[in-house]
Amino acid sequence: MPRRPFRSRSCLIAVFTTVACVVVAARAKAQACCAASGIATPARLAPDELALLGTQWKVGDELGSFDSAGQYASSPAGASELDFEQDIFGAARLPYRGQVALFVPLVETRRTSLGQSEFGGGIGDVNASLRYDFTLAGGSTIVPGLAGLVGLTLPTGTPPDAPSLGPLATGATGIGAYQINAGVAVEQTFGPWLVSATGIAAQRTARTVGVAPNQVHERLAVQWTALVIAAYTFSSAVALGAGVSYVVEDDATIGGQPSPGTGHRLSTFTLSGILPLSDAWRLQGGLFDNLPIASLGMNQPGGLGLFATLIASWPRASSCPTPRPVGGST
Amino acid sequence: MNRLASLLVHVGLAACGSAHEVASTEPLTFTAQPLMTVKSGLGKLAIDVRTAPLQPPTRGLQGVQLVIRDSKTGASEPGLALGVLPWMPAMGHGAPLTPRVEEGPPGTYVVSEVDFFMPGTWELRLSISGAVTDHAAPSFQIP
Repeated sequence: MPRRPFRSRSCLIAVFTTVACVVVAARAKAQACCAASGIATPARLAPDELALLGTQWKVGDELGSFDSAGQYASSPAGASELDFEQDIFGAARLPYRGQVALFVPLVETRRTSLGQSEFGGGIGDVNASLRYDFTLAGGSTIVPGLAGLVGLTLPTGTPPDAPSLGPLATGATGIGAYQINAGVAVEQTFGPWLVSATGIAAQRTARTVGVAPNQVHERLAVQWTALVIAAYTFSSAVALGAGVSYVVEDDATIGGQPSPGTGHRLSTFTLSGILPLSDAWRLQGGLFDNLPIASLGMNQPGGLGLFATLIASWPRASSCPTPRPVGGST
Repeated sequence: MNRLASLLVHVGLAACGSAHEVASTEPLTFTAQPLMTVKSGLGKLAIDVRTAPLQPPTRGLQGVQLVIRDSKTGASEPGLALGVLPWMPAMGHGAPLTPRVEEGPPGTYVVSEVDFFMPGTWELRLSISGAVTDHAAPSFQIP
């Protein structure tokens, strides 16, 4: 059986945006409660793929936090947090240019503070998503690839205020609410370079916690995510990329009233790479960091981490659009 | 490296649930100077707030002393019933532990097992009933 060419450059866009999306979700989930989980396409098929299965392993070290004024402070002496995640995901082709994906995280946290240390974890919030590519990157010099994204995250994890948890809440693995996402992705190739921009809006359902009269009914505001990625593909099909994401969210509403100073923002910088292992297998990995610069974050922990992903894919009969020559016509 | 090795062991145990090591508990000692004084939502009460073992508090289990007075006369307010809910308004969640409230000298209430388990802004949402009905939510920035 002849060896299938690993990927055209345009196909690699899919791989890179998958990496970046997963990392954005990773940082948000590092604190499970802060989850922007359900970035719409954590597992994405390239145009020449029929299905894929993958696993991703992540570790993140929380080094500090941004307060409500955007000031960054390092974690105090004796306080630390390490976040781990092992995800299983799969995606399958729908008719024509659609695809459906499922993302199942297993989340663990190790916290230490004031002489206490605690480790816990479990299954996180499961995400299902749909993606439809209206046009494909590389198919035209004028019209970029354009895709619509929708996703639903289910509260299958344990929220931080569950009474079954220990005092440092390390068994928290979810946000305790449903989340729906919708977004748009624009992608294009320029010779060996790939550029992608994605925008996603996420809305979470309200939560009610406590017992009257001391009960809180809170709805977090819509969370907006912008993600820009640039990547370079070498002739060996090894690719390297860099990306930045910015997540911002307005003040939450408590008891029907806006609660000032409760908004969020967080910037994440990512460096990543792809190493094709065979026709069917590829290894991805990289690092991510929330730079500890004032005003790049607000009401969020910050830190850095590593991730590695192993993916097995199955091809379909039709493949990626033929890469156009540099400077070619439509 | 030792830290990483320890963590790998912990990851292996994760599926078995959570485990925690708790430091020995010592009696809470509060400073003379309050961390803050807040007015209740309806303005009936003034509340001096102190924290221990550290003031200002850091992440982890904290004790909070509330000295509650009439906001106009300054008289202490004994015998009140307090409902206490730690809450992170920016995150939309509370804490796993339910705080315990004990009244000491008249008008002085000590809330233990206040679980500020992660950094950020926490509120201690108080519902106050008894001779006075009111509410308050002193806010803490946990580094």
